[in-house]
Amino acid sequence: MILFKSLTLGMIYFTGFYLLLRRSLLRNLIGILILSNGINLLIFFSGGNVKGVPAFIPENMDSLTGKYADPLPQALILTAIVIGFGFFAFFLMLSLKVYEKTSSDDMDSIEERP
Amino acid sequence: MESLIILPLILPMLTGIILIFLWNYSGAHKRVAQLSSFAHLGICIYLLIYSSGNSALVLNMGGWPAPFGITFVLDIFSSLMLTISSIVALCTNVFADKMEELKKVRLGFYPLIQFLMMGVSGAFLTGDLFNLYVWYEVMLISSFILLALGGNTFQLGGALKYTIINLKSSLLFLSSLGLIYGKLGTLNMADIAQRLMNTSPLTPEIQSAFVLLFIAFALKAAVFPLFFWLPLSYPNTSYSVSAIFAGLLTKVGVYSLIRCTTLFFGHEFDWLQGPLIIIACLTMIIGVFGATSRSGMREILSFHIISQIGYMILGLGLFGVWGVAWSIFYMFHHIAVKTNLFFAAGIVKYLRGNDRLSSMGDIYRDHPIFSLLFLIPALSLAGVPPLSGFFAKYGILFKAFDSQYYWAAVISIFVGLLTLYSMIKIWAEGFWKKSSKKMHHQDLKSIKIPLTLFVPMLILALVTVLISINPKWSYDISEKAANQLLNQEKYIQNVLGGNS
Repeated sequence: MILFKSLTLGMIYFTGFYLLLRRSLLRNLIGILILSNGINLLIFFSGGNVKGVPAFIPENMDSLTGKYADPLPQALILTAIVIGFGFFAFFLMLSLKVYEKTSSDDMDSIEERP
Repeated sequence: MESLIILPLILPMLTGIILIFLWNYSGAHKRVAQLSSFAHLGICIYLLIYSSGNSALVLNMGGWPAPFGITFVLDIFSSLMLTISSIVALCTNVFADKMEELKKVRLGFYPLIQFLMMGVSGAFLTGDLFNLYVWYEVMLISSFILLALGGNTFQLGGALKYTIINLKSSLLFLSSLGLIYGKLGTLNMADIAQRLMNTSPLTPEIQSAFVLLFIAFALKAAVFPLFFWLPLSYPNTSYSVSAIFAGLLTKVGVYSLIRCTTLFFGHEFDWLQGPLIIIACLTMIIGVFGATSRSGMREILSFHIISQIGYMILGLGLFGVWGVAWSIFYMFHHIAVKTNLFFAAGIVKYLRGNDRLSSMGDIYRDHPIFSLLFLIPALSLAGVPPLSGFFAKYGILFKAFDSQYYWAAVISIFVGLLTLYSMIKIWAEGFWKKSSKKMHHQDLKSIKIPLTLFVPMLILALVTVLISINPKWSYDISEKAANQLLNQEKYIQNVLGGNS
């Protein structure tokens, strides 16, 4: 299982970083999207996934005994998804604006200095 | 008292929301924003006075006890940074009045500055790594929009690169959080520190996760191999925006770096020391050489941000109470000075149409008082005694000699000299040179500097002078802050209490 997890993560990171290395804006955009999903998965895996055990303390008990599932990664991922989505939306609009001004998808064609 | 430490965070947030409701009354924006910044400053000064005499204040949000809930911690270091950044925000709000076009104000300039301050304050206050990530994002999204606001092509190009590089650093940050959580099972900073103390020696897995975290911070701080975005984006945005960015954003990165290295690895610093010092020296050199190659005032100043960051990292790398204390001293001296210089660039633009050295000239003849006011931060940045920069540089130099890093000391002297060269270049080219413009002498002279542009510079110059005439007070409080930072057990005990 651990091999499967790490291979999946490795592939996603690989794809994301490969796209980030391109000069094209759109590929960068997709790369960031893929990578942020990969990171969500990384956080999810880091919680140590176990099956069929409780995540919450039952009403009539004070603490969990034995094995339990960690609910925190889900909360972290939820926050990360929201933030990532907001960023992605902004980045998309910014790229559109840049494309309108320069009519180019190539990052190096954008002049930096007046 | 504990619940008061949330105020520096809540106040900008509420003001930002109120300003959004006042969207159509953009004339009222600046008054509300200035008033709120003034209140913010008052709160921060009060917190600084309180925290300098007491141990760290801890607030657990929603009453959830420490390692589980979100924790806010206010110690001397954070309240010091809050105070100085609050001064900068107030000055920017005043400065923006004449500097920003009405179009940008209509697009929400003032609320964005408030949200930026909310992110900055949150990053200074938080005691939880994931929460730190969230505050970084609050800060970043505001800064993205501020950079791109009402943009021309160059501005959009700069904003685009800034956005991409910062998104990548956020992704790195988040990955490192995932790894740290996987390794240590917690993201509360005090809890992490405690677990790291118990895992000795450190394993490469843990070290690599934290190195990823430090790389994310280093990117925000524009440290050596990761600084390219800064000189691309800062000189192209509007003048008041670049002033507040120059003062605050990179310093938040340095703050997090100092906070995390001291808290997590204060007891085992050796493996970080060498890399930090080497990176610091390279940052100083590259920054200052970059500055000599540029001919726009803001471009030169942007590169100097990088070289000055090097000094702060050097102070941290040398470690010990002295090193960290001088690093803190350097930070708050630098925030005041750098923002002031960017304000000066804004006024030059107001007077001459742009800030390129070639089109400046004769400013000393036309505006002697403004020119002398420019000299205070300029010479302070270069480290000319008796100004605040001299003490900051002297302290770090002394510490470098004391820890027998002679080459680092030599480099920092050399960089100081080149900084002086850059400042003299701006002075000679911009202020003393005969203006090449065909404009009539009387026309140039007749432009008066508005009071709202002048007062922020005066306030920040006053801060610099205050640090300069009584460096002992500033150093004492930095030393207290450093002592508090290096006393990890105390921090852990404060946050986690007895039940750990």
